[in-house]
This record gives sequence, C-alpha cells and structure tokens, in this order.
Amino acid sequence: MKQYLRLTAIACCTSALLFPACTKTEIVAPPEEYPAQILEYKIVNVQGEPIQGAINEKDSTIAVYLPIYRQLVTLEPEIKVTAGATIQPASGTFIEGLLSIFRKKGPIKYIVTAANGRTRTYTLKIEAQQPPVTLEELSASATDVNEYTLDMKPGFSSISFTVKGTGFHENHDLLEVLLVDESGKEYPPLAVGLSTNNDLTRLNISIAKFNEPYPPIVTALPATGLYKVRVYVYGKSATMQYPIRITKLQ
Amino acid sequence: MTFMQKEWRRAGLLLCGAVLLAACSKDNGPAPEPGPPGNGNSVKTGVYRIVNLVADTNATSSGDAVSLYYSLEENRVIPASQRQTGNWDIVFYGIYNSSVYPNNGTATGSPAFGGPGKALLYLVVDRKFDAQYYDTLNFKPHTLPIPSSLWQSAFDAVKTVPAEDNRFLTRDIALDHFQSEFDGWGHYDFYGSLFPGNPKKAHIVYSMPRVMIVKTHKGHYAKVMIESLYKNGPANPTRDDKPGFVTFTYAIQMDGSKNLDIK
Repeated sequence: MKQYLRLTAIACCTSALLFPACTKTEIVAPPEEYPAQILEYKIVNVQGEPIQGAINEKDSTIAVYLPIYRQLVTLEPEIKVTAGATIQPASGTFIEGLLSIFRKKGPIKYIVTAANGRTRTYTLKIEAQQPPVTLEELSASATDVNEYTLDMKPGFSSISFTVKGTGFHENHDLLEVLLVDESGKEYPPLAVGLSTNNDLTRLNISIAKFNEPYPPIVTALPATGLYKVRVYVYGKSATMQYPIRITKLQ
Repeated sequence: MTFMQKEWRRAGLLLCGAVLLAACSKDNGPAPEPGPPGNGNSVKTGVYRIVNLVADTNATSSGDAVSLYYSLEENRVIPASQRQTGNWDIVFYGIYNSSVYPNNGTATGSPAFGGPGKALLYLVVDRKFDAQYYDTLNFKPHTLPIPSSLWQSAFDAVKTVPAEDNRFLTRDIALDHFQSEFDGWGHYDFYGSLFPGNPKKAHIVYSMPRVMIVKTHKGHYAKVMIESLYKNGPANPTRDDKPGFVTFTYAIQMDGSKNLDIK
C-alpha cells in the first residue's frame, strides 16, 4: 500500500512536470527587422536646448509640453525614426498656427513607414502649460444683462467694455476675445486695446465703427443678440456664464 | 484565354518580379539626415536690389502694419507664420513697416521672440559723411532731396564689418531720433517742419543713405540700405505717394568672412 502511494505520488509529480511540456508551443514572432518607430521627437526652433517630446510606445503618442512663457506659435520638430523607415510629414515640417490647433483640437498625426512597408501612426499631443483662465461676469445674472448699442448712423461710434479676469498674457498675439451667440456660434475677434498700466487682469475691448471697410465683427453682428464673451489665451480658454446684449442700430 | 486575360497575367508576372526585386534590394542604411529649414536656395555672395516689395499697403497711422519677414540668405519673403523659425533674417515691422528687427529670439517683445533666431543688427553711422546731407546737431536732413550719388557712396564705403558682434543689437533700428535718442535709417518729419506750410509734407519718412549690418541667422554678414518705403521710391516723397512698398539694396558675404567689399 505504501509503495502504491509512493508510486502514485511519483506518477502525479511526473505528470505535473510532463503536462506543461504537452501544451502547444507558442511561437513568439521575432522583433520586426525594420520596425516603424519614432525614436526621438524634439522641437528645435527655440533658444538653447530643444524641447523633448515624450514618446509613448504603448498608445503611439508623442506628448510635447509648451510652457506659455516661451510664446511659441510655430513648432519645428526634428524627428528620428528607425533605420530605413520614413515619416510623413517629414522631420522639419513646421507646425504653424498653433493657436488654431489648440482651439480646433485637431490631432496631428505622423505615419512612419518601415522599409518592409509596415506603417505605424503616432498622434501628437500638444499640452500648453499655463495658469487657468478665469473671467469676472459683465452681467449681474442670466436675466439682468448688460446692454450695449452700436449706432451705425454717425461717422464714428463704438462700444467698449473691460473684461476682468486672470490667466491673461502681456503678448496680445497669444490671446483672442470673441462673442459667442446663443447657438454657440463664434463671431470674429474683438479689438483688444493696449493696457495703459500693464495690468494683466484687465482687457480693454472695443467694437468701433469708423471708415469702411468696417472690422469683420461690425459687419457680422445682427440687429440684436445675446452673446457670451469668450477669451482664448494660448492653449486655454474661458467663457462668461451670463450673456450681454448688443444692439446694432441701422 | 482572351487577349485581356493574357495581358493581365503578364502584368501580374511583372508585378511579382518587381516585388521580388524590391525585396532583394538591401536597404538598412540610416535614415537621411533632415535637411536645413527653408528651401535651401541660398544666394551667392553679391549685391541684390529689391524694388517695390509689397509690405502692408493698407497700413494706417493708427497701428502697426502687417509685418514683412525677409530672408537675406535666400532673397525672398517668408510667411509670418514662420516668424519663430530660422528661415528669415530681418523684418519690416511696426508703423508703416518702418522698424527693422533682426531675427533674434532672445529679444523680449520682438517679433522673433521665442524662436531660434540668432540674427543681429548694427547701424553704421559716420557723422562726417552724414554732414553732407544731415544736420548732425539737430538730427534732421538739411538737404532734400538727398543727393542721389550719396547712396551709392555710402553703400560702397562699408567695406568690412566695422564692429564686433557684442556691439550689435538684438532689437530694432527704427526712425532716426524719433521719440528716442537712437540713430535710425530714415528721418520722420512728423509735423512737416522741413517744408513749413505744405500739408502734403507732414508725416513723411525720408530715407537716408545709411547702412545697416545684418549678421544673418546662419551667421553670414550682409549690409543693407533702405532706399524708400514709398511706391517707386520718389526722391522727395509727399503724402500723395503710396506707402507700404519697400525698396532696399543689400550685399551679402557667403564665405563666412567680414568682407563687405562686394560688387
């Protein structure tokens, strides 16, 4: 009996050892000879050291962090790919109009083609590093709204108001103030005046009608409407909660 | 087998052969190095004259004109969307495009700020030469129009780079002693005081025969002289002349030296 148990134990152990050997051998493909891969991505149109992009192979993304103090609106990437591979758009192709890219959130994609024809697509994620944009309301509430009138009859007339908030920038090329109507439609940008005292918490806004051709916003405004003020600063934006009313007298 | 089928089969065989051949070619060399920015059509050492280059012809006195970016290395206009790149050397900036900035990304508030630009700017001032057309104590022309022969002689007189790089500017050369104590490339007669009683002579910019040295972004030296900001470069402009058209001459040395004695 003892011997029988011992034999059983031995048989069990042996079979335990044997069983894995019986499972079907899994064949792991060797690494591709010419993988389509981005090895390095850096922004070189800056003073000093380039800005390195962080390449994430797992989800095929490249993250580039842009601090607002650099005021970059155009990027010149220098890209290294694996030997024999090509990339589209090619290394050195400018990314222009960064502000509209931030706003549209349209992805920029790179397609790497290996020598064997395999392709791989990477998505570029551009992250602006900057303080949040906040706005003080112009109107007291959703029903108690500030009203402004632009009279088209005299030679000159204008509307002006001050947008107060935080997260603005001294370089007004990096920011845009515009009106959004009730349907969510954005109107042409408003003129932002130079702040006389370099107060970075205020933006002096005006809509002025003088000589033709009128600014696009003057032409675009209908007879009357409710608009929320939206401020874009580099890669961020904020919209007022309550609208203002603007009436255009013909 | 029809004719078409035969043709298709033949094409198919050819295709297979092509694929096989392609697969045989060895191609494991390194990826080609990225080329320099721009289209790489650098000019040769020489003198170039640009006439009636259209800047902002809709500019008004109420604000900055649309900037005009220029590559001296390639003798062409560069789109404003590339202002933060090394593709350009100077920009005609500000009111009526009357300030010249180098492409220098270190200059806060300049149109190049933030970019990689390394260009520098220097204004050659020779008071003895200036005295031929200019009141050197009151900083305004005493002879108008300025004799045309002076332009060529001013340009030719600059035969080398007269200063070390540390004397160069990263910011602009603008209108001469206008709201500043700096020498400039041209005189702005705000009130028309050079021609009293003639309203068509107020707010006129008179170019002066003065040479700017540009160290380009790529490190070459050039001498630049703005001849006019008005259409067809009138010798004695009035308010009837159309601004926003830049005429300038430059000579660029591409061998890396400071020799500007270029014909």
